[in-house]
Amino acid sequence: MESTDNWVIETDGLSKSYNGTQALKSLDLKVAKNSIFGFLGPNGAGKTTTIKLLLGLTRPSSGGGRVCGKDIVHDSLEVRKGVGYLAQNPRYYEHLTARETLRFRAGFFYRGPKSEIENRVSETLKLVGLDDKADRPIRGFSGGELQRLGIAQAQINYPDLLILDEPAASLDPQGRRDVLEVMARLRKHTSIFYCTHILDDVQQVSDTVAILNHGQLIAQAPLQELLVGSDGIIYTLVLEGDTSAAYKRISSLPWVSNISAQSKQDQTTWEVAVTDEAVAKTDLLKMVICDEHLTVIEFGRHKHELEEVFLSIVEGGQNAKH
Amino acid sequence: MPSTNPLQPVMEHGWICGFRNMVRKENSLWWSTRKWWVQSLVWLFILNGFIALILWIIPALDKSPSVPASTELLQVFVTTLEGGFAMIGVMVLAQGLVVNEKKFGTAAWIMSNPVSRSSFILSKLVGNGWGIFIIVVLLQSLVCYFQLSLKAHFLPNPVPFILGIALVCLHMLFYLTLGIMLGTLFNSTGPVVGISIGLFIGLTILSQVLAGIAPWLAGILPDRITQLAGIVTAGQALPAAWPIPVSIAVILSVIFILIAIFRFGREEF
Repeated sequence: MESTDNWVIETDGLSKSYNGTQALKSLDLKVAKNSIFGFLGPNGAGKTTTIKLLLGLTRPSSGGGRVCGKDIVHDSLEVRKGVGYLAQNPRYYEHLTARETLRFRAGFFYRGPKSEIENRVSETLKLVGLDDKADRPIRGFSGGELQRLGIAQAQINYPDLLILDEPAASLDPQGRRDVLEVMARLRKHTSIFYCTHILDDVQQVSDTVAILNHGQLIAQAPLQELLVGSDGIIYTLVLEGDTSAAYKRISSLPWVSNISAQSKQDQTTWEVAVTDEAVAKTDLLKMVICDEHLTVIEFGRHKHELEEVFLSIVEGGQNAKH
Repeated sequence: MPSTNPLQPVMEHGWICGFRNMVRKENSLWWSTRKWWVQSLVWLFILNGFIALILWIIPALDKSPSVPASTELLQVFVTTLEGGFAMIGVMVLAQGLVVNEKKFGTAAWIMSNPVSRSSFILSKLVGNGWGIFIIVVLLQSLVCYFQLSLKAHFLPNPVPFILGIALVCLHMLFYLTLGIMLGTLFNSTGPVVGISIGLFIGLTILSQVLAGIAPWLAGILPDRITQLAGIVTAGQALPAAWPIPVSIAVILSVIFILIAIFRFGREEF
């Protein structure tokens, strides 16, 4: 049995219903420490409900959980002492400046010399690139600036866990890139649990993902495992030139179980299913490249795009957990 | 992140967790924004403007040297101005304290921090109670007393005035706690201010009606406190039953706050 010390979030049958409608159905989730955990699902899947339950903003109908080892129902205040949270549509006091907002939030966690608190505030503003707008009232902030302020306020207490609800939603590409960069910078300091439906972002920064649909957890796995898929070991080759001789040679190999070929313009794409990954890794490319009539444009282990995996799981009704 | 620094973790736990920082925030809304001087000017105009009208402007226009006695004017200030206009002002100020935070989403943000629900409610009471006391009561009372002293060329006995103002403060506390409680029960400001003002007017009418048929009942209503404030300001002896409406107002204020904490504790964000 794995120690609870390894997990920053653990839930056990966590459920929530609103007026008889089940928003979250018996969620069993484990989030490892020091991971960037992407929590995916279509709108209304129950992602925000899960976050609110973890933070004590709402109470579970049944089940429970622990965040940083603290019970989410009975030790909610202690949970919030170790967590930083960015809401989906964050709202702050608009008359305050970014610096005052951080100072206010820091006041819930620390006391000590004013200069030290100011140093921490300035350091956090710099981390999210808001140092030049620190003394402007929030009411004039753009969506991207508000989102960065949201991350800054969540990070001001150096939390063990950052919970971010759609951190890059409603941002333009540049804003999204900035937010992802900030998340990547923070990963060495804290665990990050974040909800999103922007799959590109997940693929860029996450190491583990879970997929929620209709309030139910339908997949949870390391990202790489999910992208490789469950349809065997497949290598993809993109070739130029006459492939017929190479095709015969490769398909006769004992560790090759199937080759599917598709031609498009001057290029042919092979998907080579193999039974021995180690041999395929060392020999497959060599055996193709030795054909002087062929040029290898691309070679690698086949990976699905996350979007492909997500849609196949969510739409295909695949209920088995990975 | 840096592990050695002179910052110490805040050691608040349980029902009081986050209280100090929340009170600081509520205070800053009064004292670090333009609210303090806007409110000061508004109440100076309404309350002391009325006193100035009677003391200086009307006599000057009428060319008449006669003005009401200082005691009489202090009574008007305590019962009609502080006990009437300012009381309605308290209700208006209290209407959005909780509702606006729920409506705009800032309450959800606050509650994602280590802040207990009771600290949130109590900070509203303490921060705003203090702001109202300083600006609406203390400052205006001092200016009123100064105006009267200037006109009368002597200092009226301040003790009855202070006692009268203290009773009005209790009455204000009653309506402030009522407004906070209603804010936890409703999601818009309309019912909060409507019920408060309705109760204030209703109790005033009811105490007048009851005065003829059941005076003992009229004497225990919270509305009676302002009348008691008028009596004590005039330097007269309080009726023997004075502790009853005072106790009832205190008890109801405590009950309102307990209900507010209970209801806000069950709020889901």
